Parts: sequence; C-alpha cells; structure tokens
Amino acid sequence: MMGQINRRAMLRGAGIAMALPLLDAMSSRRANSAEKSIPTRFVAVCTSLGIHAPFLFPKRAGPAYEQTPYLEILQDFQDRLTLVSGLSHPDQAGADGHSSEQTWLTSARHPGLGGFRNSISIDQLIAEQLGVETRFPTLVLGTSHVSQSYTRSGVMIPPETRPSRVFARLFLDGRPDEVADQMRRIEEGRSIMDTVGAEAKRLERRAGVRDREKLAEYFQSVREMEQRLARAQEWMRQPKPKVDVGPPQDIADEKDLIGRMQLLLDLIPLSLQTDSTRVVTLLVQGRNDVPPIPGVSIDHHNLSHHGQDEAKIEQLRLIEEAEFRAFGSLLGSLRNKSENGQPLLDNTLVLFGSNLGNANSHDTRNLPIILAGGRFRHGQYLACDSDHNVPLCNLYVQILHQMGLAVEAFGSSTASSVPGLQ
Amino acid sequence: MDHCVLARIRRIGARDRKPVKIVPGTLLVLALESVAVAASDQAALVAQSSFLQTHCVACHDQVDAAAELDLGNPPQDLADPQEFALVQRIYDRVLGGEMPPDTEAGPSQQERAQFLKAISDDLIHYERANEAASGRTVLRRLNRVEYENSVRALLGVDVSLRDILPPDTSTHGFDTVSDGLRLSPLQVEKYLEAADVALNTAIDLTEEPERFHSRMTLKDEKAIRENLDTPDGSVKDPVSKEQHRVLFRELPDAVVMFSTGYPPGDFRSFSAPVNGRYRIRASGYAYQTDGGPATLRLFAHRFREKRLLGFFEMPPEPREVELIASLERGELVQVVPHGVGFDRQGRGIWNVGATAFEGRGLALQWLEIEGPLGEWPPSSVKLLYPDVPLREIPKQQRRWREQGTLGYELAPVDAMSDARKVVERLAYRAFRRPLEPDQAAPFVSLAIKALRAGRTFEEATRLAFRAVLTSPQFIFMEEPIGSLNGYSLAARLSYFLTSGPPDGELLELAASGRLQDPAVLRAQTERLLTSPASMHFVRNFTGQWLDLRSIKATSPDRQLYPEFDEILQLSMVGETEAFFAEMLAKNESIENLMHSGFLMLNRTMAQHYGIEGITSEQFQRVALPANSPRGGVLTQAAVLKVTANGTVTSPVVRGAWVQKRLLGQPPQPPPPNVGAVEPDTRGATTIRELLDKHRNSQTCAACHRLIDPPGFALESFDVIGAWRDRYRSLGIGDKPAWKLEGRDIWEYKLGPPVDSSGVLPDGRTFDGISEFKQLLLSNRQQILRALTSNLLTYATGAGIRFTDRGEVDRIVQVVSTKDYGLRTLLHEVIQSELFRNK
Repeated sequence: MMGQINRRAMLRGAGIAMALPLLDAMSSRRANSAEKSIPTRFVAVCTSLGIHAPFLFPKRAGPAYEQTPYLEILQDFQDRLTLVSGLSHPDQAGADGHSSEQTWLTSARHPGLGGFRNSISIDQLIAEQLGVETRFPTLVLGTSHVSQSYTRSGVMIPPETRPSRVFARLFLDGRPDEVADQMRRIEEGRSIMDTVGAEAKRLERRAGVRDREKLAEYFQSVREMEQRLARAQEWMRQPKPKVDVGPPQDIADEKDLIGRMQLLLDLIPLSLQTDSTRVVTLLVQGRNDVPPIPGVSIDHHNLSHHGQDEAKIEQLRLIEEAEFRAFGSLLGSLRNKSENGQPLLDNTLVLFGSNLGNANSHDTRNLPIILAGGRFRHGQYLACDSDHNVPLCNLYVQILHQMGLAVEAFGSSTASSVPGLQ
Repeated sequence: MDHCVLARIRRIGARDRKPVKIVPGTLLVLALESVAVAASDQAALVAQSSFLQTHCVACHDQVDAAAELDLGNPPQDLADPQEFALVQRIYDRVLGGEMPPDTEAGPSQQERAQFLKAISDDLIHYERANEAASGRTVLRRLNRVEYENSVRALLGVDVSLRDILPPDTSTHGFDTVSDGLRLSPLQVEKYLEAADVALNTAIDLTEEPERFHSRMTLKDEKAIRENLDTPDGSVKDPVSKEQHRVLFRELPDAVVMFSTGYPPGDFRSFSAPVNGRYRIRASGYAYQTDGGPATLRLFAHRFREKRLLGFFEMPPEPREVELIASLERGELVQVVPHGVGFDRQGRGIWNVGATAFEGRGLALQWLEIEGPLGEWPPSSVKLLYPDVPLREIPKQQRRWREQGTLGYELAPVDAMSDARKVVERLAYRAFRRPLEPDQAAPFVSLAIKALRAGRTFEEATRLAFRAVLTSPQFIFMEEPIGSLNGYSLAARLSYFLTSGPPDGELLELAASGRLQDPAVLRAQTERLLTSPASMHFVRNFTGQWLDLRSIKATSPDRQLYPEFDEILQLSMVGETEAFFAEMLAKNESIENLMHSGFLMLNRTMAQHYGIEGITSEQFQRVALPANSPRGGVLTQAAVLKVTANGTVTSPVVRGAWVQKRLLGQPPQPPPPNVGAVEPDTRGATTIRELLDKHRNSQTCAACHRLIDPPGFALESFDVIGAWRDRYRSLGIGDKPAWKLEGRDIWEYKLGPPVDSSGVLPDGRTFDGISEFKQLLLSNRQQILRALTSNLLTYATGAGIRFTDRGEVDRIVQVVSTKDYGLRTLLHEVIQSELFRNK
C-alpha cells in the first residue's frame, strides 16, 4: 500500500502533512525503542454473514492445496497465511441464528439464552497486557454499531464507525484552545469520578452482601475510568504521531459496506506502524440492504440465506469476493510496510473469518478461519475434523502464546494449540 | 429417549467434586456455611441415596450413565449454580412423573412424595438462607431505556440518549434483571457522555431561533413545477432520448401525486432552524381510488436516509391531519404517498402518462409547518434554575459557542448560595427520595470549587449536575432488605408500569407512608395503567416477552415477498402492542393470547389479513370474522415474522418460540454437532420433508416431538405472517392467480402445498391452526403461570427461584378463580409478596 503509486495517491489527498518524513522514520519514539524489541500486534477481522464454504475451502489439505475462487484472490500471500477448517466454538445455539456474532472472540456458550453473560474477548485480554504501552489500548472498529470486543464484565465495546474520526483521534492534534478545553473536560471528568466513587463507598456500608458486590463493580469501574482519564491527560501532553496521508473521506452511503470496510482497513496499518495501538478488531456486519456492487440486486442478508438458489449464490460470491479483495489489500499493506527491515506483517498476527460456518442454515460449526502473519509457519490448508470440530479457542491460546501471554487456557479451549500449526 | 434432556445440563467428566467454597469475611458465606453444616454430607440428593440407589442408579451410574448423568455420585454443592440447576431439574422430572420410568419396581406414591419434599426443603432452605443476607433481588441499575426516561423527566427535555449507552444484556429474558445490568469503565464513560448531551439540550441559552410558520403547496415547489410544466413526451437529453413523463396532476385545490420516486415531495422552503419540536399539518384526499383510502407518509431527512415521522390513511374526502415531531437542525419534511401509481389493469403512470392515467393517487392540498414549539429559552432552563434570573445578552456582546450564538446568561444574585440550591434541588429529584443530611454536599462542593476556580455559574452547576446524573444514587434503584419502604415501592411500581421515575403523587404517598396500603397501591396501579405512560410498559414488556424488538432483524426476500414494506412492519408491531394494551385496558382473559374473538387492526393489517372495511391508520377493535384463522398472538404477523428468517419459516424455530415464550418451557438447545436444517427455496422439497429426516432419528425425535407441533400448525403462515396454502418458490412452481397492485406476479411462483397438521406429544391431533389453538386452550394454567413468572421477573428485576414457585402458584390460583383477566393479573403481581419485598 505504501508503494510508489499509492503513496503518491495519498499525498494528493493529504494537504496538511505533505512535508512529513516517510513512514519508516515516522515515529521517533518507536524508532528508538524498536532496537530493543519490535512489538507484536493482533488484528481480528470478522464478516458476520459467513463465507460461502464451497468457494473457500480446497478439497486437498496440506501445502499443495488447489486454488479456490476466494483463495485465488489471496494468492500473493499464500506463503504468509494458513487456512483452517474444522474449528468452532462449542455450544453456540443461542437466542437467534446470529447470536454467535457476540462470541466469535470470546467463546461464551449459548449466547443470548437464559442467564447468558459474555466473557472477555481475546483482543481485550491481549490489550490488558500490551495496551498500557500505547495511546489507545485497542482500536475497536465496526461498520455498524456492533463490535465483537467485550470487557471483562462482558460489556460490548461500541465500535468506531467513522474513518475520519478514527484518523483524527489517532493523528490530529487539536488547536491549542481545543486542547485546553479538552484538558479541562478531562479534569472535570476526574473530579466527577472522585465524587461518585466516594458516594458508592458510602452506600456500600449499608448494603446487603450481593448489593455490595454491585456497588463494588460500580466503584471499580469509576476508578478505572478515572485512571483512564489520567492516562488520557498524559497522552494529551505528547504530540500525536504524524503520517503523510490525509484524513479519509467518510462514505455517506450506508449501503456501501465494502467501501466502508476498506476505509477502516486502511487505518489499521497506519495505527500499528505508529504504535498508536497494538490491538485492532473490525466487525464487518452484513446488512439488510443491497450493496452497490455491479451484478448485485438482492440484499446481503437475504443472499446469505440463498436456499441453494444458484442466482443468489452467484450474487453472494460477488460480495464475498469484494470482501476478500479488501482483506487482501490489508495484507498487502502490512507486508509492504517495514520496520527495521522487517515487513510489518511479520510482527502482526491477523485473524480473518466469520462466526458462521454456513449462514444459509445459521450453522456455527466449521468456521472459515484464515490466520496470516505473526511468525507462524504458514503456507498450508489445515483441515481439522469437520464432524468433531477442534475448539477455536485452542487456536486462540496458541495466538495468546505467540503474543507473549502466559495463559494456560482461554474460553472453551481444551488444548494449547491446533495440531499442525506451528 | 427423554433422557437426553438431562444430558445437556452437565456431563460426566466435566464435573469435579468441589467442596463447599468458603471465602471468609462475608455474610453470604456465613449463611452458606450454615447450610453446608446443617446438611453437611446429606445435602439435597446425597441424603436421598437409598431412593437414588433403588430407582435411579441402575441407569444413571458411572458405567451406563444414561443421559450422561451419574447419580451414584450426585450433585451436592448448591452454591454452584449448575449443581443447583441440576438438582432442581431432577426434582422437576420426578415431580412431573417422567422419572423414574414407570415400571413395577418404581417408587410408590409415598416414596416419591417424601423424596420430593426432602429435596424441596433443602433447596428452599438454601435459597432462604441466601436471601437473609441480601434479599431476593440484587441492587440493579437503570437500563438504557429507563435511564433515558429518567433523564427526560428530570431535565424536562425531549432528548434521545439510549443509543449513546452500551446495549444492556438481557437475563431471564429481560433487560430489567440485575444480573445482566453490569457496570464497566465503558458504561461510566458513556454516562458522562449522555449526561453532557442531555445537559446541552436542557441548558440551551442560545439566541431565540426564528420561528417558522407557513402553509406550503406542491405547486410552488420548483422540481414539481418543472415536472408539471414540461410537456409529456418531450426529449431533453439528445443522447439518451429519454422522454419526459409528467407524474403529477394539477387540480384547482391540490396536486395529485402518482409516484413515490423522483421528483420527491420535498418542501424546500423549510429546513428546521434548530433541534426542536415542530407541528406538521397536512390536508389531502384519496384520488381515483374507487372509494378506498390513499396513504400519506411524512418523512424527515437531510438528503440521506429518510426517517418516517408518521402515516395517515386519507379518505376520498379532504382530511386534515397533524403530528408533532422532533426535528433536527437542517432536516426537511417530505410527503410520500403509498399504494398509488397503478390503475385497475396494473399499469403504472410511466406506461400511461399523467393526462390519461386513471390509477390511484394522493391529492395533497397543503402542508403546514410550525416551530420550533415552546417557550424560549426552553422551559428546562427554568426547571433546573427556578429562581435564578436570566439576563439577555446585548446583541453586540453575543459570543458563539458550539450550540450556536449565546443570547442569554444566568445571572445569580449570590452565585454560591444559588449553586447550592439548584444542585440540592436536582439531587433530591434525581435520587427519588428525600436527601439525607449532607447527601448533596459532595455534589454542591464540586460546583463551589469550580466557582472558586473562576468558572462561570453555568459551568460550575453543570459540572455538579453531570455528577448527579452519573451518581450511584441516580443510576441504581436502592432497596432495603425485607419489605420495601414507600420510596423503593414507588420506584419499583413506576419503573414497572412506565419505565420511568415516580412522579410527584407517588413520592407524596411514599413520604406519608400510605403507598404500602394495599388499597392505595391498587389505586396507584390503576392510575399508572390508565396513563399514557403505560405505553412504555406495553412496549418494553411485549418487546422482550414476545421478542418484538427483533422485528427488524431480518428483511423479507424482495423476490418472494414484494408486498412487504416499512409501514407493514411498523403496523405489525403496532397490532401486537395494541392487542396487549386492549387486553390490559379491558381486563380481557389471558385465554385471548391463545385465541381471541377480537382483533386490533388498522387498514394495513386488515389488508394483510384479507379483512375488509377498515380505513384508518389507527388501530381499532374489530370482531374476528367467521372463518378467519386469526385471533390470539400466535397468528399475529409480528410474531410470525420474528420467528422466521426472511426467506423461509422453520417449524422448529416457531415451535421453540411457543414453548419458551408462551408455555414457559424453553427447550434444551440441540446437542453439539447437530446442524440446522439447510433452507431450500428451489421449490422441490418442503421444510417438512427436510425435517422428517431429523425427526426420524431417535436422538432428535425425543425433543422434536415436543418442540415442532406448534410450528407445524403455524406453517400456514409465511415469513411476513400472511396466510398461505402453498409455499412460495423461486424455482419451479405455478404462476399465482392473484395480483399485486393490479398486475400479474412475476417475482415468485407457487411451490408445494403446506401441510399444517400435527400430533401433540400426548397423542392429540390437529389438522391446522384453528384446531391447534383449541387444543392450546387446555394449557391455559400453564400459560398463565408462564406469563406471571415473566411479569414478576420484569417487574422485580430478578428471575423466579425455586422458592418463589409457591407465590407464583398462589397468584395463578387467585387469577384463575377470578376471571383470568390481564389487569387482574397485574394487580395480583403488584400486591404479591415478591413485588412488595426486596
């Protein structure tokens, strides 16, 4: 992406930061610390309406797999990615056919049923360890108001949906009066946190046991918020990193799912290379309307329930191919950027896939999963048992280990690796 | 085969025997410990080892482990929710007579009874001990709907806040249950943000906006004028050679709209000058409709996606309509007709041309907009600062701020003491109870400190207000252990029936201690149920109980269901809400949920159900026509839509819905590694044939013979709730004989016929929905019990425990001896022990 042509294209649209150095020398803070160690990053991208399996999975497993329509799009990256089949989270029968969207990164059982409570998502667990180093512990992106990132108490983190806003938060320093105003507001926020926290402590004294736990949860939340505000103040005193591209133009047409997905994807390499964050998630949520893709006339959700209708499957393919092309551009951009002579992709673990194995029947087994980058031994199609799936969390534990987290288990894991993946 | 139900509770190997957990230092654990000590080795099932040995272990042992359940090693740790649930389930299976199986060696009636009593005593003992430490419910925070309503009431503003807050998790089916209402730093961050948005709206001291008030006609709209004045058939673009079509007809008193497309019915001389409430009036009539109405829709937009403000059915005689809408700054108002543009032969105006066209149209006479309504500065300023003088800023000194140019400022006589007064006042109202001494002091001191630091009076008080709106006293509904005091009762009642805070009358009754008087409580229940605010209860309760909140989760396939549109979707939810509201208002029997002799219909729904004679957009009560399959909630389109996926229906999904929502018996989720049926719309196979494979397998049949029958009965209704004799198909099939908008249907074909017959687990058969509903009536007690449990869960914010079953049964008993009335049930719920105690 940062190749000659694209860089020029970006500069044309830039305006403000034209005279800035190239990305490689961009963050001096990072450049110095990079000699010590290059951080490992984690990126997860999910398309919520499934991926039509016959167009993705080859018949032959192993390194010599044959091309399929979707893999062909990623052919350039064959040696840097692994396709895995036969993975899933157990017990995903939930409130409705799309409930597993909530648990792709968490694996909590029976989403939406009875006393369901979600658990922490893998990205947030990673962020707890790595997030303290960066301005943003995580970047949670989405094409709609839903994300797959959940806090320790099982609360969904609402995603950033507007690329221009994300860009501004990452790279644009406000005017001095705006900064002063912002500082004052943060200061106010901190004083409010102090006050209401003390009130919770006071109420705790007269509350029953379980009520006290709730108040403690409130108190804890307030205190953490206070700490975040304090950190935000620290960061405000440091200028934001500069990049030589201009802010993206948001796409007004909500139906343009792929266009909006692409703009959000474009921000990921920038945010990683400037070490603004080390953990990013993006949920591409399929919609109940018709995306502006030539040849597509039926809405996306409906196409996913194709009922084996050939014409619908053809249209679905057009949408999914566009998704794969967008994903390919992310991989390309991560590969072309380098830090200390290494491609950014080598230090970035990218997970791509869906929470549905077969959207036509809302089947949550046999999920499509692609793992790229991050120093795994790639270049193969790893086929796990399609009747007795391997827990997706076994892969997650392996990812966590790769990220340097010493965990024994995550979610519904039963082992700490997926056989055949190294 | 029934064994598989137990199987999924817990599997052998997944369970390690755990000792009773002892975490010293809390009251709860002391209570647990006492249970553990009292029961020690004999807790629950363990004490029943002789019963288990004799009647259960033959199958449920470590070796055979029928249902993967090993009762040689029975669950005993009631503090573990899974163990508790397992014991409760074993109790239910024995109580229901399903286990142990009916053989000669089975237990005697007496043995059974003793076994049940022993387990029941243990479970109740455990729950009671737990309750002593905290009460039945756990302190809960407001959910986002309640938060929004509370802030609105408190600040006197009409502001939308719910979407700022993270979505609440629902537990036991409702978002009022404490377990799901978690706190997190994110939640707190969003409270700060929401409070800011609300206060920005409430303390609006900008210049008085120019008021707009004008009556407009389409004749004067440039784009429409141009369309009318360009000769039909003329070619403007020499390349495309496209011929111009006149799409309107000018009458002396109106412009007739025949199309929903371009040019749109925008009124460009108006664009909302500020966020606010506006009165929109319109006058028009149906044109060339053979006596029927034409629909007038009002939209607001800012040149992007439109939002529907309302719709009206216009009769052939002129009708004036009015609505009050909240518009955002810069929004335009657009009129779009509906159900117009086709003639009797199904030809559109594009085929015929405007002069000769004889199809349906909407004649719009005028549109009038007035607003923003209300005083200036908004009354919310007075509500927050009742005794603080306002000073108008001289024109030349006015400064610009984010919201606009400031026209006013607060001019307190004594800033310190006024700040104290206004902050105390808001705190009192926000906390829904009298302030304890110095309770407002921390909030006041925030304002005082800010004043001392040189902030303006407005900035300083805003800071304190923001803290009040984020405080635990406002966010949480505090309830003392034991019976609720007046204030807690007032809050519980008010949030139950209006999803909002108690009003002045309730707070007065709370203060005088009279609210706990059953007669007063009853009268207040009546008052709230009769007030318009009870619509919040109807909406939020049915939205979750019947899952109406998912109405937008799927959009019906446009090929298969070309007749579906937004108004139909809105009306579906409107119907079910109106039906529940009517049952509540008239104290109709809950039997009406299964089958009713009346329907609540507007024109859209009546048309959808093939019922004639309803011409209004308002829902009205009509008697169920003879031979109509409707009546009851099951056959309402909203329910039929939320149980389908937009393309096909599944008897399994609908059957499970009936089991869970109506009968209160949620089926167990399918075992792992069982896929769902793969939908097929090619017209060659029916869902029934696909399912039969499923049902014929031994492992699946046990549950599916319970789950599927209601779904089979509902197969006569398609994904949008319309009646069908045959499935619609995108592949093979016959051309439908009926027409859409007067034209032939080319989008879909008619596939195989629908079979809606079935067999209940007890062997009774039905040939379709009407017979099925009659059979369902024998379940009225069960349905009443399920509804009672749902209402109690929603109202008290806690699920129904084992111990609560007695009180639920008592309510069911009372209501069924009275009249089965829904309002009667509401009163019994509110007067119950469970409602009046924490």
